[in-house]
Amino acid sequence: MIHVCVIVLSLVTALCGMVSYKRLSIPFQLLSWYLVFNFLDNVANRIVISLYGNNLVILHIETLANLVFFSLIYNALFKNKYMKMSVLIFLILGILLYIINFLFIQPYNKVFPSTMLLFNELLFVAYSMVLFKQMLQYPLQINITQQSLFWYNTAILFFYSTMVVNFALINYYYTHNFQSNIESYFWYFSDITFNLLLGFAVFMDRETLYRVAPLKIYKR
Amino acid sequence: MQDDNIGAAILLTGLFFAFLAGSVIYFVILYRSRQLKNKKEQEEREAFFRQEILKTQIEIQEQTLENISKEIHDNVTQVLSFIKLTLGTFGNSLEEGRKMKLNETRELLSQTINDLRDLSKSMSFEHIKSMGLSRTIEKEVERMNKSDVIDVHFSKNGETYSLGEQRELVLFRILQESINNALKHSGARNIYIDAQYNPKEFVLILRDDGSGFTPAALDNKSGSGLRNIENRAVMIDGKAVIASAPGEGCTVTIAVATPEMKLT
Repeated sequence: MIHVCVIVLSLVTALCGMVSYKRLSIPFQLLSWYLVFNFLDNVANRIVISLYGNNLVILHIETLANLVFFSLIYNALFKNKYMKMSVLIFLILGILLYIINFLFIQPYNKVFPSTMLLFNELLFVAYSMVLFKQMLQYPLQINITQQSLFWYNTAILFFYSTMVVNFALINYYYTHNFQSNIESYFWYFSDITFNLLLGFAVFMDRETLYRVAPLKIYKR
Repeated sequence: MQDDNIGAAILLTGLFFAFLAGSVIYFVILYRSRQLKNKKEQEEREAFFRQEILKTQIEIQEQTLENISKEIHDNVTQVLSFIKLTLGTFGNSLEEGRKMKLNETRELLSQTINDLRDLSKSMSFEHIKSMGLSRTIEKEVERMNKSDVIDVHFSKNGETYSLGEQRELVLFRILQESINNALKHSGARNIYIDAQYNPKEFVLILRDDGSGFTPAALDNKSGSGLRNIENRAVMIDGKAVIASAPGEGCTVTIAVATPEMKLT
């Protein structure tokens, strides 16, 4: 039942992104494509699991897609040219690491791509923190709850930091041979919240939103 | 044992979520304070910009008035004086009736020359500077009363002191603008000017018995004159209060701290 909920929710957010595509700013247009991918990924996951009993292949693809999508989105969101450059460098580095991992360390048909997942998670958490800092440097005269950037960044910070904790839980249970579904529920809760926040971010975004108020740099 | 570990895991997870939520809330609060700081700075910049524009406007206005004043004094009145003298030379060669008309014309010319000189003085910054505010107001009142358009009553309380050239000039221009407003818009028959030289502050009150108005109901164009008065007062570290109501005339009160008080 919870799988259906996740799929329906990802479908709704994907539709929300596509319907409002024209009025979205470039980063959120990219995000709406990610939401479409996310929906297809969720559907494919269920199919592959039912056919092969695991979703290793899908997870490998998903890891790479996430790296590309979120790196491009953050690249578009950052104002600092060095940060933009850093994002691109980390993207290229991540793709190279992915290829090495995919071929030699954690093969796509045998092992869960935990190395790359962890790399993504840490990278995205770092990006979200830098973006929060940027938001503080360039405050807009719009209520923060009406800013799509805030909801998007909160979604990223929330989901990827909880995934790090989730990994820790899974590893702990695995090494101590504990039987529990807690990490699964934890993951579902995080994924549903993530989708809701991303959907809300897309819903709130307007191409004109970040042009309305003058920006100012605060130097400390 | 397993239950204990699951409990600990739930507790840690809960703490983690609380930390995460706390961080986001902290960010929102910090962002809000930055927004407010930014807004305040922006307002300050805009106010400073408005004051600078006003200062420039006043400088240009003063320069223009000074030029007109000089032109009236050095050119127009000189030419008129010359005409008056020339007319005087014709007097002896004319018959009695025409001679009387010529004398009347010469008197009219004299009056015009005097009026122009007064006007020139009220325009000139140099003149205000040399006479001081109180004396300049007195002269202006005399000039207004001579015109028979309106009755202006001037009273002064306290011992006169200087507020500084720039401040006195701005105060006098405010007074002129207020009188002008009363003449143009209110249909007032009397204007009462009261200059109070208090130890701590100088207060200039200008009251008319005109039709009055509702300040809040003024449109942008009409209201800009009043805002201009308020902004000019702010520029000299003073405060202008404009009070009016339909049928009750208008009172403009300008309060400026004395230079000593400002220093302390």
